[in-house]
Amino acid sequence: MTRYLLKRVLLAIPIFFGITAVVYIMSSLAPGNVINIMAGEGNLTREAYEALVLEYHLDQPVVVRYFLWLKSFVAGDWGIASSTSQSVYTMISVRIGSTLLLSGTSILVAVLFALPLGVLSAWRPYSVWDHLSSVITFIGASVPNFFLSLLCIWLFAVQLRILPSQGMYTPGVPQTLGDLASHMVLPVLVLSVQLTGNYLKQTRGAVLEVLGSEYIRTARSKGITEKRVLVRHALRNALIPIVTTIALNVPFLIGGAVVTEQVFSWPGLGSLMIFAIEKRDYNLIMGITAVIALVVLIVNIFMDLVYAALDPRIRRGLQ
Amino acid sequence: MRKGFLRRFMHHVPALVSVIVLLLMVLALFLLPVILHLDPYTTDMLAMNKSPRPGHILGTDATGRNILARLCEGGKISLYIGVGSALISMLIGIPLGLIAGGTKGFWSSLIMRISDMFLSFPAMILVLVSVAMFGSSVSGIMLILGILGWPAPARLLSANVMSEREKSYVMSAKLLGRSNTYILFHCILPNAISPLWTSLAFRISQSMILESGLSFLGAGVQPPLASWGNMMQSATSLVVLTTRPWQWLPAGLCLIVSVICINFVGEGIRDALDPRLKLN
Repeated sequence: MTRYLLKRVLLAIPIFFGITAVVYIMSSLAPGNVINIMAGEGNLTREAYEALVLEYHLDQPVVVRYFLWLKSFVAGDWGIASSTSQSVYTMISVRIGSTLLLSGTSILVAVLFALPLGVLSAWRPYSVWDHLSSVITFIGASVPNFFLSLLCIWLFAVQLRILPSQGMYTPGVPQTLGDLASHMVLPVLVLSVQLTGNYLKQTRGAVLEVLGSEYIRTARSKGITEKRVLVRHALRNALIPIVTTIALNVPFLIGGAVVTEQVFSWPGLGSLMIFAIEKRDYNLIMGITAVIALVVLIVNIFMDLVYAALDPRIRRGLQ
Repeated sequence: MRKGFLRRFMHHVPALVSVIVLLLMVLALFLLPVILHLDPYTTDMLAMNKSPRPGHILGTDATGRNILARLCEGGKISLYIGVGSALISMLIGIPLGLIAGGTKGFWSSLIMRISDMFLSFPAMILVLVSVAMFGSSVSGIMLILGILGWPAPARLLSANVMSEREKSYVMSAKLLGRSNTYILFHCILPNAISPLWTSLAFRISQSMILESGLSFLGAGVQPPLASWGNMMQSATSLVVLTTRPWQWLPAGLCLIVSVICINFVGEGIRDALDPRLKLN
């Protein structure tokens, strides 16, 4: 078990270096001079300019600069955001909570809907449940989430006036849990429709495949109740591909809910990334990228732990 | 293409309907502006934010430009980016997938690791950063989406090649003394490549959704050029969202209809190529 885990961790770490290096090199390839962008062209004396070149190691090749950045990132020095003069670490830590709240809730809602519905539609193909889940899958895959957001805002916030559509709290009112919850309904709805579609497809496919296998027939012939067959025998063996899909979604929600966060003015990492890119704030871009890459890393390792818990063959190193 | 493919595809009703809708749509995108003498860049100062009326069938936008003309222009650009970037992804993904699936060793595992990396990181963030750094011209966006989209077809092809490699016809070709390169290109590739047609369709619709999201954020196709995504950007203002639906709803509906149709065509191709899949 320890060996399995160690091997998986060693395989996952290069992903972190790869992603941060790609983004670092891409930002350094950008046309225009970083210092001029930060300070404004012609605002610096020659001495100040050269001091900045030295401070940002711009006289060094890009590979050396990447490793210098990596060294200070690991040491906890994430730099100062040029756009706001605040520390990058503070800016990210203020925002990461709201992103985790939004994405965590959306995944939870999606799993709670998709697992039972997916099992039902695999159990009785072409039933009402199956058709319902096809419709949800189709909406999730074909309707861009910003369009769905616009429709939701139009319907729930403008026409019916029952839900707020901007931000996390109503400004000027004491922050309450109920207020937060009502602000979360629309973005969670939009994000979870997309996720539910994705999970439904996986659950249905995986359970359908398992239901055709010999041991399910054995279980049924032993006279076990159908519910027990579905939950204990079929779903449990179908969980690995489902867990993979869920885990792969986590980083996408942390950084990929950019559009949804922007439409609903949700103060998360996605909208911070847009701000950073608009301002060409390289330290902030790198900080957010690294945080997302870290989440990818942690999720990968967590996923391997879940695999091992689900499948004894993996746990004992047989696969 | 296998025998009977066309016949089976014609029996897949949603796919057939989708092909017809897509053809009509493309025809409309190219012919309507010519027939109706519409120009997407002409501003009519006397008709700003006007609702649909004769002369402006779908109304006008905030600078008095004809919405129908911009819808056609935007459709052309969105389709161009979608199809072009999907082809680029295939062009990169197919050779890499062949290497990853057909060989064992350093290069194969390097390709798999790099595709792992790209697949596990949110594409939208990479696209946003690269577009900000390298500019957001139409061909630039197409190139960036194309380059970042290679892992999906590469993974699909390499998985297919790996499963084909274990089959007995490969062994018999080996026994006949064929070289590995010959076997890979003449025996395995023709059998492994057909699912990529479905993958091509899904890459097109995925790229179109990504592009529209990007343009919706204002980072994609830049005005005065139109795209279905940037036409919907105006709806971020509550006034436009509630009182001028003609400015954003048509673009959204066109995008959804074309994405649905392209996905159906992909499913139709998949079912027609492998009838066994449908029986399951």
